[in-house]
Amino acid sequence: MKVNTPTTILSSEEITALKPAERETYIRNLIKSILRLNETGVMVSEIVEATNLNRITVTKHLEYLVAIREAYKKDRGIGAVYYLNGRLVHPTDRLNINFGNKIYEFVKLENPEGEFVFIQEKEQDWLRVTTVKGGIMLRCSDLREFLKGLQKFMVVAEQCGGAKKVGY
Amino acid sequence: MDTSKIQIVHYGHRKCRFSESVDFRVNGKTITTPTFAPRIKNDNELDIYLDVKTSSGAKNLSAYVVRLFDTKRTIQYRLKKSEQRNLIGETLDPKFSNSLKEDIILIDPALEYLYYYPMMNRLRHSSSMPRLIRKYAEQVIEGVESLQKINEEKKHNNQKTDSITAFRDAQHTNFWSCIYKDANSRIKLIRDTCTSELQFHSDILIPPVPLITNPHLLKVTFDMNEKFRALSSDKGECADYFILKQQILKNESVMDSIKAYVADSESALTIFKLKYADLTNPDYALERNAVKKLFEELFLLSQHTDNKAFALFEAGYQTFPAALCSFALVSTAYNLDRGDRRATQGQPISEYANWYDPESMTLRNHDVLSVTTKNNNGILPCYCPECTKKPSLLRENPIEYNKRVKRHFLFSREYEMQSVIDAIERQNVSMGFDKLQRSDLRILTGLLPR
Repeated sequence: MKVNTPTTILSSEEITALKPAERETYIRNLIKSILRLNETGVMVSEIVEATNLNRITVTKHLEYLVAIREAYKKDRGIGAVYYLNGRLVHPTDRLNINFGNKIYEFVKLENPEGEFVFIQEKEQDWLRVTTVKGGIMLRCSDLREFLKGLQKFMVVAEQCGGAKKVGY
Repeated sequence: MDTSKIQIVHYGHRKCRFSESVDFRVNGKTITTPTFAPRIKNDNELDIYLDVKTSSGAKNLSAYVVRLFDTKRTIQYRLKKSEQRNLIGETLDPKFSNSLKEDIILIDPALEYLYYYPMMNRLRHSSSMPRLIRKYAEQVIEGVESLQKINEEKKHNNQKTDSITAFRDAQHTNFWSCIYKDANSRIKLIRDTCTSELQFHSDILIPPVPLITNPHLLKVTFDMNEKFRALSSDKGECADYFILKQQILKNESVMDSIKAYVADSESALTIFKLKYADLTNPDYALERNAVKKLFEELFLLSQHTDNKAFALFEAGYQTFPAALCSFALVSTAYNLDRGDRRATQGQPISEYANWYDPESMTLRNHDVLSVTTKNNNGILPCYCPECTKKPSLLRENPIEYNKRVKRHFLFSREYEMQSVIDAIERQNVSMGFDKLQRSDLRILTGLLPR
């Protein structure tokens, strides 16, 4: 099956002309938009066929997206199918907390395994461009338990004295 | 849903025939359309804009356009100042800091000046312009200078001289053809433009595109729009941009291609610039008809597509008709994109700027305004806050006069935008048609779809 791709994909010549960091960002965003356009999931080989990118490059970026919880994968036979992580339950189910140039975004997501709270760590550079640095997924039903655990940890951290210094 | 992305909110009661007022959201800023966005070229003009904005809370004056080569003398210094704090933590430039939070800033790469020679020197020396552009400007200046020398020698020997215009045209098309063919230069131009726009807090990223003088440059424009979006969409909202020369408006195939492209494009905002297009000239019936068809098509598109809005830059006399035809943002310079004080036929340049007459919707020079005011019992024929508070405009020195003329211009435009919104809400846009009919721009009623 042919995968849906964005209308414009840079040619290999243009991708080569990008600076290394830009190239990485461009490819990661391209893969992310392919995942967004294919809700039923995509395999590495399908992305390779649609974009002419190197298989190793595609796998590396997909695995990175899985590691920062932007995507998730399911093993199917000899390959794995990658999906973009969840659909926003409601546009209002979103909260941003800023610490300087760091932003922690709380989003309520829904995917076939249930409803989750997705906490993403984002960072703004000097041009105010936001990049995702990491994230965790918590099942909505586990949220209270998680908070209890966090509070316990805060008590431990305060007793150690380290947390007092940063103003808890 | 990403807050940096454009969201257009339609309301059932804010629509009447071919006019609509929507809520336009980007980067957490919301404006009610149509909004007038003055093109600001220096710090003085920015000050006037901020003053008018803070003193009157003008809500239909919530955006401004700065050309990329003007950024250094406009917002670069203000941005640095707005980041500085005093001992009690207050910003040193509160007006500008508030404006950064509320107003939509648009940085226009304005690469049509690669075609017109007079700005070449500024392009060459502007540090915010991409390096490729500066290099091109340098080459053209050197080329023209050497051509002028050769022509002088030829004149001396009674030989036929070479055309500087033809040289400039060839250089322009050549430059963009190279950009179109060479991936490396294309990427460099896109990257540098995008970085500069982000650096100057542009809320919507505008691609570097050529002035469309022929169908080949239209192809280059499509390519630049697409490649810019592919590369920069993660950094912010990208618009599509078309800079049209007046003569190209008559070319139906070009206009049809543009309409088809806009209909299929992913961009939520499409910006048009009708360069030096004075459609008030009775001879330009074909151009007027082409613009009317474009306005009609764009209105239909905005109705049938979820998230689409349009903007018109350097609108000049077309400002009011465009606002009436559902353009979200309409921009023009304080002098309606004309060299209003330019010397005519050997007369010296006037030190007084032209005054915008809200009744005739055209500019009046100092002498005409003096006569009009005298005939009006010494009262300025305007009811804007600037003209009613201090009616002694004509007695001001040129510097103060020019400042007040600009303030008056902003108030008048803000009032016009508000009147369009009111007319839409009262389901009576024919009020706008009548206003245009009463003015000196009655010929532009031909632009309005019926």
